Amino acid sequence: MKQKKNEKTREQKEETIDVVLTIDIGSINTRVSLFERENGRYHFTGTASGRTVYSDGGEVEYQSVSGAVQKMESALDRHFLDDTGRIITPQKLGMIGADQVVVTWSGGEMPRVVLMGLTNDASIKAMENLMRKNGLKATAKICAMEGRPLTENIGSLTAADPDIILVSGGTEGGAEHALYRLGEILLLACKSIDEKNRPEILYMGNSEARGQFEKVFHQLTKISFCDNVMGQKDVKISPTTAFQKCMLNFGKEKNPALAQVQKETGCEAISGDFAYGRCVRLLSRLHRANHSVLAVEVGASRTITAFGANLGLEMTKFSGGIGRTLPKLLEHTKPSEILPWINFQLKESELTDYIINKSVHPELIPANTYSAEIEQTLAHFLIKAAIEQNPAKEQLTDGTLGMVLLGGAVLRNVEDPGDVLRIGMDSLRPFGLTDYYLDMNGLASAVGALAGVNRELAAQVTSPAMFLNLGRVITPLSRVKEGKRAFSISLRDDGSNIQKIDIFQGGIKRIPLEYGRYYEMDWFNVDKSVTLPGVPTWTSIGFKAGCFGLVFDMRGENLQLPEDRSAQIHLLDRWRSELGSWKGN
Amino acid sequence: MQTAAAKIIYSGPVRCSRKLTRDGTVMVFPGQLTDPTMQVAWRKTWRTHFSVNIYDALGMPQGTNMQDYLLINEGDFVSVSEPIARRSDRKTRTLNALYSGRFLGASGGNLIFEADAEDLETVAAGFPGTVTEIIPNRGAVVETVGAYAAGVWGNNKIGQGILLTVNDIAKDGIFDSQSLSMAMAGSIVFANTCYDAEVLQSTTRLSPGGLIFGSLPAALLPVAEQLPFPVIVTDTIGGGRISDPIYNMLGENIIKCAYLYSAPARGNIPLSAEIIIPQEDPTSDKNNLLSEITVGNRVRILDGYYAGEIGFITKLLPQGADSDEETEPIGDQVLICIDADTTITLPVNNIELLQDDKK
Repeated sequence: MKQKKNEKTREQKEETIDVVLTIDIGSINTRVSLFERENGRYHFTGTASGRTVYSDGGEVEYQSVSGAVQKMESALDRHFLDDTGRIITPQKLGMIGADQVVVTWSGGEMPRVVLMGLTNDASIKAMENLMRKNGLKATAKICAMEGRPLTENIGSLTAADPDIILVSGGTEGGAEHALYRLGEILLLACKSIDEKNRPEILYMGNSEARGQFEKVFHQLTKISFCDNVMGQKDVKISPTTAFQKCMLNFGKEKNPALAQVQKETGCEAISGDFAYGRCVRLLSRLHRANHSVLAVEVGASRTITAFGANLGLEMTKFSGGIGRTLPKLLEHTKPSEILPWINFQLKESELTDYIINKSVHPELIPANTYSAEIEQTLAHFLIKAAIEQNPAKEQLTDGTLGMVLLGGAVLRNVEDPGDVLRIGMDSLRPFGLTDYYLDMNGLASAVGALAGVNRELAAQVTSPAMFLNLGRVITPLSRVKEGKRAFSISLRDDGSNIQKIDIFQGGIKRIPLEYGRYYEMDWFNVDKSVTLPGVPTWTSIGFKAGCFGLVFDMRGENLQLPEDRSAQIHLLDRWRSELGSWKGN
Repeated sequence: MQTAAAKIIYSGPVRCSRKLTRDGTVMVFPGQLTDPTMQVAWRKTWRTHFSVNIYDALGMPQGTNMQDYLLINEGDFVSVSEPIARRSDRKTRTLNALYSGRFLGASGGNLIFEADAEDLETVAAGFPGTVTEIIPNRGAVVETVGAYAAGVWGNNKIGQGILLTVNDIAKDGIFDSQSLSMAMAGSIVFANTCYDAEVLQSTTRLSPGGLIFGSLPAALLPVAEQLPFPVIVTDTIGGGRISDPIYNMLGENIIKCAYLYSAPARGNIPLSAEIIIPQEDPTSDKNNLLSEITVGNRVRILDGYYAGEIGFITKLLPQGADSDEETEPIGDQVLICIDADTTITLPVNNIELLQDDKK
C-alpha cells in the first residue's frame, strides 16, 4: 500500500519535471548532460564537459561540477548556476536552473569489499551477483562452510583492509546460528581494525539474526540492513539499493564535490559504473530476445565490458584505462604485441615512453595523427585485455551478440567514426551479425542513472537512436580460399531498388548505404564451408543503415599480421582504406 | 587525474600536504619542526592472529567460565612470559604468553591475540619545515620558505644533498660515464637526461644524495626504481632537456641543500615527485634538543615500541656519559619515565619536547 503511494507521489513529481541535468564526475573530465521536456516528451538537448579538479589530497572539488555546468551555460546561453556557483533547483522563470539533478561518479578509487557468507554456492554467489552489477570484485571472501580456523579468517579480513563488508547467509527461517559464527569473526576483526578505519557493514542475511547483529555492531561501526539477498517475501529495502547507499557513502568520502552537489540540490547520486550496467540491461531488454548487447567503455582509469541479455548483466572492469592507469596494460600486453598494429614506424621504446607520459599527463589529447594512431591502438588493446577478463566472452563467437556499444573519450574524440568501428572490429572480433554503435555524447551512464529516478525520461530516451549507428558488420567463419567467392547477397532498399553483390574471402568489404534508410538483405550461394553463427541465411534480414552501411569482415578467423614491418603497415593501410571513412563513403 | 607537473616556486612559501589515503594516526602537531624522514602519519594493521586454548592450558573442563581465570582485559598488550590466566584452586597453573601481542577477545575456549604490526601506509615529511596544519586523521601540511618544483616521475624515495649540475653544454647535459665523479657523493645532481642504464646503475657506488633529470626513457625507469637514492624526472618520459623554468630554478640554487621527495600514486592521490630547496636549512641552526630540555619536561616518544607515548624526563645522559673506551660512543640520551613502573633510556632524537614545555 505504502509502496503504491510512493509510486503515485513519484509519478506526480515526475510530471512537474521539465529540465533534467545529469552530472558524471569522471577521473579526468566531468560531463554534464541536459534533457528537456517539450510537448510532453523528453529529449536530449546537449552535453558539455570540463576538467575534474582535485585538491592536493586527491579529493574531487566542487569546482569540477561548476566548471562543467558553466561550459553548458555558455554553449546554450542559459543559466543553471547562481552567483555562488550552486545549481539552481527547481527551474525558475526565464529557463533558469533545472528541475532535477542526478549525479554519478565514475573512475577513481573503488571500495574494497569483503564478502562473508555461509556457502560459496548460495550466499556468496548471491553477493557476487550484486557486486557484478557494479563491476566490482570482492577483495576477500570468508565462507563459513570452508571451515578455516577463526584466526585465519580474522587475518584474511584485516589484511583485505576493507571499506565495505557484506554479510549474508541463510534463507528466511533457515540457518541462524552459523551466522553468529560469522558475526564472531567480524566482531574480532573489527576490534583488530583501528576505530577510524572500521568498514561499513551491510547485513543482507536471514532476518532472524538481524537483531543480534544490530545489537553487537551498532556501537562498533556503521551497520545497515536490507532484505535477505537470498530472497524475501516482503520487499522493503532491496540489497541493490542498500549496496548503492554504501557505495554512495564511500563515494562521498572520496569526492567532496559529490556530497556538496547532493546537499545543495537534494539530487540522487549513484555509482557511474552501476548506472552504466543498468543502461546496458535496459538496452538488452529493448534488443532482440536471447541476443546480447555488449557495451565497452574505455575510461581514463578503467575499461568496462558489460554483456547484457534478457535483463541479465555480466560486467567486468579492467583496471587499465587510457589515463593514469595505462601502464597496467603493459602488465597484460607486451609493447612488441602492440607495435605491429600501429601503421607507422615506431620504436618499442618510443611506444613505452608514450604510455608512461600519457599516464603522467592523462588530460592531454593527441595533437597529431601519429599520437592519435598510438592512442587508438592502445584503446584496441585495452578493449582486448578487458574482454578477456569477462566470463561471458564466449558470446563473441557463438552468434548471440547482436549489438556492440562503444564509448569513452578516446573513442568519442576520433577524427572519423570509421576509426571506432575499426577498433571495435579488430579488438572484439564477434562472429555473426553485429550492429555497432558509438556513444557520441557519453549518455549511457546518464540514462542508467535516470532510470532510477525519472523512469519516464529513461523510457522515452533509451533507444539505440541515442547513439551513433556505425553500421552492421557481418563476420563469417569461413574456410574458403582467399580471393574466392564465399557467398552472394541481394540488397533491396525501401524504394525496391535491388543490387546483387558477390562477397569474396579476404579483406573487408563495405557496402555504403544511405544513413538511416531501411534495407532488406537476402543470401545466395552460401559456400558449404561458410558458417555465420546466429545468422538466419534462409530468410531476409531487414535493417536500418548506419554510417558505414553494411560491412563484411572477410579477414578470416584469426587476425594475424605478417612478420615483416612494412608488410604489416601495408596490410593495416589496406584494411583502413577498404573500410574507408564516413565522410569519404 | 591531476598531476603535480609544472608547479614551480622560485622563492616563497612552500606548502606541501602529506596525507594518508584513509584515516590513520597523525604523529605531528602544529608548530612542530620536521626533518626529512619524520613520519607525519601512518596506518597499521596486525599481520598475525593466533589463539591459545585456555581450557587445555589450565587443565579445565570445557565450558568453565574463563573470565574468573583471566588476568588480562580486551585490548591489553602482553609480552612473552607475561601471565595471561591463572588457576589457583586445587591445581595451581599459570598460562604465560608464548608470544608478544594484543589480546583481542575470546571465542569459545580460545583467547585470540594479534601480533606483528605492519605499516599499511606511511607518509614522511620529506624536508625540514614546520607543521602548519593538521589534516585530522590523515596527515599534515608542512611548510618552509624557499624554492619548489614538482616533477612528473619519482622512484618513491626521499633524500637530500647539495645541489650540483653536470649540464655540460658540450654534452647536451647528458648524464654519461664521464659525468661520474667523486664530487657526486652526498650531492643532488641534475642533468638533462640519461640514456645509459649501466651509467645510471653505477652511480650507486658514488652514493649521491639523489638525481634529477629533465627526462628519462621509460626503459630506464625500472633501473631508477631500484636505486637506493631518490631519482626525480621533472618534465617528460623519453628524451629531452630540463624545461627552462625548472632549469632556472635549479640553477639559482646550486650549492644549496635540496630535498627530494617522491611517493607513489595512492588511491585518488597522484604520485608526488618534488624538489624542495629551503632558503635556510632550519635544522642547521636548530639548537641541540638536550640543551633545551630539563629534568621534569614532558616529551613525546617518536618511534619504536613506545612510539606516541608521553613521559617525563628524569635524567639527562649527554653523549659519552655511559660509554667507556671499549664501546662505541653513544649519542645524547635521556631517561624517561612513562609510568610508575616504566622508565626507559632513549636517544634524544627519538623524542620531542611538548609545546607547552618549550622555553
